[in-house]
Amino acid sequence: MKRENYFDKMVTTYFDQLWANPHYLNFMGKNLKNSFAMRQQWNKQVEKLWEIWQLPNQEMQQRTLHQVNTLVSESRFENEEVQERLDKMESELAEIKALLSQNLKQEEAKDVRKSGTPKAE
Amino acid sequence: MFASLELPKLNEQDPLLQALPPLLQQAMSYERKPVTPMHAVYKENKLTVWKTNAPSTSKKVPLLLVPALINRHYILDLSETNSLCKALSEQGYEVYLVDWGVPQAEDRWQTFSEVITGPLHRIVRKVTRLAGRKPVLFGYCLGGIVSNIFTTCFPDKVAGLVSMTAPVDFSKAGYMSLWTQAKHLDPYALVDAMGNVPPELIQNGFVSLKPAQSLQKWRSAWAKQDSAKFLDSFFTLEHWVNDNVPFPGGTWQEYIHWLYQDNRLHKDTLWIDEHHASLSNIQCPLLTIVANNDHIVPPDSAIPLHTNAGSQDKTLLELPGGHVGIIASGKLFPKLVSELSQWLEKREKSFT
Repeated sequence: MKRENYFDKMVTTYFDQLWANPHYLNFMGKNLKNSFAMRQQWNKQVEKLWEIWQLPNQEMQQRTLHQVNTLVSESRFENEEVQERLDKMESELAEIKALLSQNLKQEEAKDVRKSGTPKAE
Repeated sequence: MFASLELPKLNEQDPLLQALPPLLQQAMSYERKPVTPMHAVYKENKLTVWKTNAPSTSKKVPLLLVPALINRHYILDLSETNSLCKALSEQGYEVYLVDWGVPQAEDRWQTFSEVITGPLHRIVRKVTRLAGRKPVLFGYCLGGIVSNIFTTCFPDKVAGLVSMTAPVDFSKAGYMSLWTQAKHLDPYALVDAMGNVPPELIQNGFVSLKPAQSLQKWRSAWAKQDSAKFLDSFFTLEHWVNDNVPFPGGTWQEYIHWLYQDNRLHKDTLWIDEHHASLSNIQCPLLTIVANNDHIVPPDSAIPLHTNAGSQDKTLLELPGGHVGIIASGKLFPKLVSELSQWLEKREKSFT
């Protein structure tokens, strides 16, 4: 076996055993939990500091901005959709109008041919 | 870690660069060039929907490509030889590509349900309006998960579904399911502490699944560094692999809790707002693509979509490759494109 292949196999075996080891996973899980708890405490202290100055804290600012973004996205999309539908309806209406006036002209032309003069009405 | 290995960028004319071996030269001067000409058709918040310039209109069913939220969208438009956007647009499909953008601190409050009922719902409606008919969704990895769930919630909005390497049974997702067990990880505490999930955390997680692979990859690149073609394709992929974006915290915590820890999609207990995300709701033609050597999404975790979906017309395609290789490998990609286009062609009349 090549030296590199042997090394790769060793690394793979080592990590495969490590990643599935319940003791290691429990230890890492607890470490993570503790570090998250510390970070949460720190975040809370910072928020309290903002409160003392009667300023909106980071969470409030982020939540508000997210809600604004969501509302803006929704309203722009709906507006755009309504506008597109209106445009479509307008163009359909214009087509119908054009068709009607064309029909009217054709009928008038027929009447002229029949009587020699346009209809009195 | 190798995942976050970043070298300083040097100008191509720099004498220092010329003195380095080709592998390092390329590593220090590589810049990605856009592949398929596209234009933006929809924008909201940070996301953009791109449409390939050609064809401008098509009688074929429109395709909406949904990449993962944690990776950059250009994996589906990677290079001249490996671009799904290019390959499908050349076959006459209108191709739309979702670029989720880069989440900022405030996006930490975006929930998993919101992604499905908000942005993705609007994107599908927009594409339907632009193309004049319902699209076929093509979801890759996490993009596949959200596409699957979207189709279960809004089955009448989708003409067809292609789900590539997207897990459904999360209990069979290998180490990922072990690491994310509730006794080891509290996703809500992590997000409370960190906000958005940093890309390095996720990327290092993926690298840790196969640590020896990173060594092999660089060793093989060193050995083949005299081939300019190899170096180009190597760094194209390497650039994408390391170009990750943060995972919106609110989305991630529910994703981990609902899907990995509770396995709700597979157990048929997932609700997205008032929608029951049951796989039996999927009635459209369905193509499930799995990669046989996928260590991130093992085939066993993705195949239940094929088994449990309610569609009459469902196909399972197993390709011999890895999670990224399926789209980035020079050998596998043509096979993927040919199978996908055959599947689409055969069903062109049944897409309603």
